[in-house]
Amino acid sequence: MKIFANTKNNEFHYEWVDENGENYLAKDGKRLDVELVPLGEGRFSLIKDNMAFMVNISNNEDGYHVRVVGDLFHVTVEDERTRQVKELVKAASGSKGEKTIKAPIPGLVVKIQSAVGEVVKEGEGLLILEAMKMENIIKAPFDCEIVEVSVSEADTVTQNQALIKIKGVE
Amino acid sequence: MFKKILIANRGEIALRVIRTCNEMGIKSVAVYSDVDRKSPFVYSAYEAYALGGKTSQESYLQWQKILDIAKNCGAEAIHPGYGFMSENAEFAEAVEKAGMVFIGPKAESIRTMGNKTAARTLMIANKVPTVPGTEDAITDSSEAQKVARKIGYPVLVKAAAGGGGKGMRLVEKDEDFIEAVEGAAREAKAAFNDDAVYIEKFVEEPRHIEFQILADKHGNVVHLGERECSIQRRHQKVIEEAPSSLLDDDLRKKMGEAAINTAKACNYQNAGTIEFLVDKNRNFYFLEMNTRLQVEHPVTEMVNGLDLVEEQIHIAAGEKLRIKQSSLKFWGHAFECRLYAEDPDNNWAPSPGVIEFLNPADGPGIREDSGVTMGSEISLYYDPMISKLCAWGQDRKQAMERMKRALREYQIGGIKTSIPFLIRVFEHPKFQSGDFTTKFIEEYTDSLFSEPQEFSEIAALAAILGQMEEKKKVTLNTPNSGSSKKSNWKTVHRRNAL
Repeated sequence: MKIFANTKNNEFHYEWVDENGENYLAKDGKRLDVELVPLGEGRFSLIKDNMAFMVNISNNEDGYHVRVVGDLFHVTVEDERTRQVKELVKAASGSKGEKTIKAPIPGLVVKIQSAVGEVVKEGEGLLILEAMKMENIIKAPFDCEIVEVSVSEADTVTQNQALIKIKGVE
Repeated sequence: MFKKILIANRGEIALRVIRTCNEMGIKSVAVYSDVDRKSPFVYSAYEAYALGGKTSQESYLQWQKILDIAKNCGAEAIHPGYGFMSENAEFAEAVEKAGMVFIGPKAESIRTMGNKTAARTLMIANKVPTVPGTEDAITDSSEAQKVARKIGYPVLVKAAAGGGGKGMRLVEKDEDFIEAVEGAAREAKAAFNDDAVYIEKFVEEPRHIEFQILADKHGNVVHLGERECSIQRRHQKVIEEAPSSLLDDDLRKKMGEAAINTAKACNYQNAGTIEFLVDKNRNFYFLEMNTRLQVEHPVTEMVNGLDLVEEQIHIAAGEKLRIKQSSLKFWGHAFECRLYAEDPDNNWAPSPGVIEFLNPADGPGIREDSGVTMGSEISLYYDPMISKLCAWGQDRKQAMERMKRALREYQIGGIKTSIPFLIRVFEHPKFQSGDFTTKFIEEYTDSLFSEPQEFSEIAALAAILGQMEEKKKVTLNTPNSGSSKKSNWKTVHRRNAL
């Protein structure tokens, strides 16, 4: 079975081989010399071609957070079937559908910088949330139109509370 | 010498003071909020008293309660640490009135230097160079805009009662001015209950260099050299080093003298820090004075071997300075990194949570000042700093290599941290060559917050094999395997199909 792993900058292709009840990972038809041993608490010792690494793996809804000797990578893993399903869903919903921006942290809405119907560029501020003694600017993840603003200035919000609904614009 | 000292603070700095008290044979008293009941500083102290409450306002800012505890437990002195009550003149006065010693400057010095405009006026009178700007605080934003136009952009809007980057905004264009002033005033009101701001010219290609001073009650003042704190984000220091890669002996001597003059001008006692901006032409300007121990004091300790908390205690006890300017020795180079609980998925916003695993860095030249342990919670109620990681080397290069090694070695689980970003800074050629300004992080944001190429395949393989491990566990837990647990097979495959 083909398997794909994406980091932010790279895509890697492998095959997951089941041979007489033994499973292993291969690349370009060659078996990979790689072993992952759990150490507990999401920590693993990984040895590839006798090169040794300490890695930490944690899940989130978008894939995996993998720390390799201090560096952090976001990795998504898909096999052929999940990739096909994803592509069908994507084709049905347009390139960038609606996304709800949620509060990353409980806090106080000090300023709303965008209004319904407004089009904002990626990286522009949507609202300012004060949390843990600092003002944090919640920015647009991509070029988008503001569909709905669910909070008002001076509102106290809980973690993951919906703040603003946006829709991707081409 | 004091027999018992109360520490009116929490976390790493409370633990830092407790350690010195233990070394000096002084009994330490901790006060703690409900949130901090399990914190290391509580069980490390000789005595500990509950303040109750969760927020700073309900606990560490309840100074009458803290004073009552201090009096009732027989403490002779109070160490305020940094933040909270450390620069509160009323508190310093109340401590002295209650017959105890405030381990810090006199209230009058805190008042003078805490009010940024009063401090500027005093500096101008004492011929210490200052940045052009308003003499007085401004509460009317359109009035402030006139001043900004007169000085010329870029300008800095700063809270008169400010500190720690709160209530500070850089304004590059006239049209952004009003919103920046309103934001700064709001932040200042929330943090210091005072929305007055003042305006000053933004120094071009600035470097933030500060001098540590010690002053006793007998008029003796020494400076302990400089710290460079130019690597800042959201106006908060992220990395500090001693000495600065910019200064030569001549400039160091001039700035050191200016720092001593500043301390003398406000009759300063105890440990303090004079912050300067140095521009591209190596002119330096007084920025402000911090009338307390600073977060970044360990880098100074690492290059001169002193224990600043111990010196603070000796000074507060009325002793003469135990060191002379001429006898001070400096060796090597030190860095400090502030490790924050921050979430890279959320624009590096503070990220509270529980530390599920912790194995800090160690080895030659490494010092860690931390207030947390395994199971500690980084709560919503306080600053998201986890720890201060320091590295010493015989020269800047060795200190830098050690810090990089330590950052890569640092193992922490359960919360997200700023470690990947700090590694990027230490790998950056401009940082390595000492060629940077306070805008370093802004200028190189893309590369500092990006995902590196190296190790990306290792991460990919780890994720795939990690997923297989998960699936194996699920398979072992199916009913056919004899396990009593309910099967996760459907859940896992449905999730994979999404």
